[in-house]
Parts: sequence; C-alpha cells; structure tokens
Amino acid sequence: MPMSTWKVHVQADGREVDARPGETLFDALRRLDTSLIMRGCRNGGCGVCKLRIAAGQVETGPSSEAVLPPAERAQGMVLACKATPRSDVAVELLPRPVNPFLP
Amino acid sequence: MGIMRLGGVKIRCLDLQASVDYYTKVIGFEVTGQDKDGNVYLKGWDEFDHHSLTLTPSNRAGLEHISLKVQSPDDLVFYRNKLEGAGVKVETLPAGSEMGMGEALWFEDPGGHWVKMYAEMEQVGTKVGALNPDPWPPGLQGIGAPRLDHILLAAEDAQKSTDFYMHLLDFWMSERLVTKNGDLIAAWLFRTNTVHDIAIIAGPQGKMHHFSFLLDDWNEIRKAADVIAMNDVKIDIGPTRHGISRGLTIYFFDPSGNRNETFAGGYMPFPDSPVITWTEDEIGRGIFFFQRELNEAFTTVFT
Ligand code: FES
Ligand SMILES: [Fe+2]
Repeated sequence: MPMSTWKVHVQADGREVDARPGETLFDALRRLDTSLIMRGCRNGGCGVCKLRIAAGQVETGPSSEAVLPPAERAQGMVLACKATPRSDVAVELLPRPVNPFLP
Repeated sequence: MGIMRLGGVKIRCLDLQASVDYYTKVIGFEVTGQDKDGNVYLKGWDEFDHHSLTLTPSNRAGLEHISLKVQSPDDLVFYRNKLEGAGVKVETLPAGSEMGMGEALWFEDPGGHWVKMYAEMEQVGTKVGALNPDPWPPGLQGIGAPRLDHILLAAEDAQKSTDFYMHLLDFWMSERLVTKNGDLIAAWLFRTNTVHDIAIIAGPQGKMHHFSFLLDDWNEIRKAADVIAMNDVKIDIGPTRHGISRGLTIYFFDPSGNRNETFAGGYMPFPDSPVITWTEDEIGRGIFFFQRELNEAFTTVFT
C-alpha cells in the first residue's frame, strides 16, 4: 500500500497541516508552527512532546513508560516524536512542560 | 584515598541493539562483554578498566545508577561507616554484580539516584597500551571518545544533594549557580582535577540531565558534530561553549532519548580553589556562552 499524506488537525485553533508520508506528528506540527510543541529528545525518552489523539489512527514507536505509562496510552496519549499518522488525525495539545523544582 | 572518579554509568535502553550500535558506531566505545541478564558493557579506548558504560534493556529511558570508584577496599569500609553514621542505608553487593567488578556498596542519594561504590575492577587495558604508547589508536569508530567524563543529575532539592556529595562523599565544588536570594539552582562538583565529575541541577527526582564523554579540543568537538549530523543523531544544541566550566560542548540524544554530551576544555580546579559563583540573571551566558540564552530544553528535558 503506498504511504499516504494525512491531515493533522490542531483542536485548539483549527489549524491543519499535511503530514508527509512516514512523517511523525512532531515533525508535521513543528513545520506548521514551532511553538506548538516543545523540541526535546525526539527519541521517545523525555516525554515533553506528549499530546492526545482526539480522533484518528497513529502508529507508535518505542517510548519510555516513565513518561508515557500504559494508563495514559490507553487514554489516547502519545509521544508526538514517536507517532506517525495512519489516517487524518485531530490532536489535543497538552500544557507545555515546565520544571517546577527550579528555586 | 577516597573516591577517584566517576567510574561508570548504567543507562536504560528502549531498544538495546539500537543503543549498542549507537554507542559503538557514533560514540566510538567498544563492547567488552555481555552478561546473562542482557546488560552490555562498554569502555572508551583510553580507559583501563573493564567498562565505564553499561547498557541495560528496559521499557523506560534514564539512569539506572552511577558508579564511583574508590582507591582501595579500606575506602569502602570508611564510606560505609560514614554513610551509615549519617543514617543512609547501605547494602553490600557481592563481587560480580557487574562484569569484572569487585564487592560494592549500594545506596541512594537524596535526589533519588542509586550509587554503586567499588574499589576493584578487572583492568583490560587501553587501546594504545601502557608501554611506549602512541597518542591514539588506529581504527577508531565515529567520534572515538576516549573516556566517560561526568554526569549531571536532577534533584528536587539541589542543595540537599550537593550537601550529600560534599559532606558525605567528600566532593569539592568548582562552580555554582544561584538565585537572587542565594538559593542553589545547580552545582558542579569534582573529585578529580577536572571541573566536574558530578553536577546537580534542580529538577525531577531520580532523573538525569545528561552524561558526558571527554574529547581533546574544539577541533574534536567539530568532528564529533559532523559525525553526529552524518548519523542523523538528534542534536539538542551546539557545538558551543559553557560559561560555567568554560567547557566546549555539544548536547545530543541517544536512541532512547537520554542526553549525551561531548565535552572538551574546562580548567583545573583544586580543593582550595575558591568556588566560582554564577547568578541567575547571567544564567544564559553561564550555560550557553555564545547564544547567551537558555534553550527551553535545558531546564525541562530529562530522562
Ligand atoms: S521529544 Fe522526547 S519523547 Fe518526544
Ligand atoms: Fe556536561
């Protein structure tokens, strides 16, 4: 089956971007607007790119259960750097991560 | 007497084979063994001991533990007493808890990091040997990092962790970063004559900011950046310079998202060197001297 281009819809403001074949949600969203999603490890380890799939299908790669526990995954959370659209998708962005321990 | 250096780190890997490939082909470490639990042991070409990096298969990224090498078995007795005297629970691990490692102490620091302290490890020798050696060996892969250098640990209470390493484990402080009120944001601590062996930053308990490989100079850092880019490794920032430590640096991520660094330069601190203080208003210059501002990832991305 040829890889397709899928629409990624940002729920908060209705903006859309076409994800290129095989492209991750992270790369597609950053191409739309770099401020939408924080740039972390891009390898599924740090969790700063976490978002929720509100609609549609994604394929996910290896990610750390320390930042994406199975319970969150079951609620539709994914790491954007490890999620590739398999249909048109709508995403719900999460609050930007901060470090609460800085004095 | 006492702690000689950061002897090793054990790192969790989401895909062990991808990590072994990366740490050998990109970092240029060599595999020295694998045990029945699937842990893979590696070392840099200029390290004598059996290993300084252990890769362990896991469903999470991050640090399993750090290892501190002391000079003699007497030091293990000394630190057991000192730690227990301060109310720290210390376990003894029999020889062989890691390949080539002698008996070890096992305890947790206030930041939630596990620490292994050991006096003996089988020496397998450097790639250039100890008799009339060449300056570097032929056939290095990728960056060809000679050795592990330091680690930056996160702790909810940076002051408490810093006190632990200074008061109980006899580390010295080279530099510190403080708020307007003098509260500690981060500390750079050493047992060798390098500017840091362990650093502490305020952040989530038990997590790691990065661990670092030593390189010679700016030219090696530039070559490392080429290797990193040619291998599509995800770069965080750099090449650049830290104001703090004066180090030349690149931050980048291993295949599980653990931050790595290549580090060169710095200077030689001594136990009697006055501590260098950086204030919060100069944090940009302190961390990334050229950019003069933090990137967002510096204070929020940990594994
Ligand atoms: S950026 Fe680190 S998990 Fe996606
Ligand atoms: Fe560092």
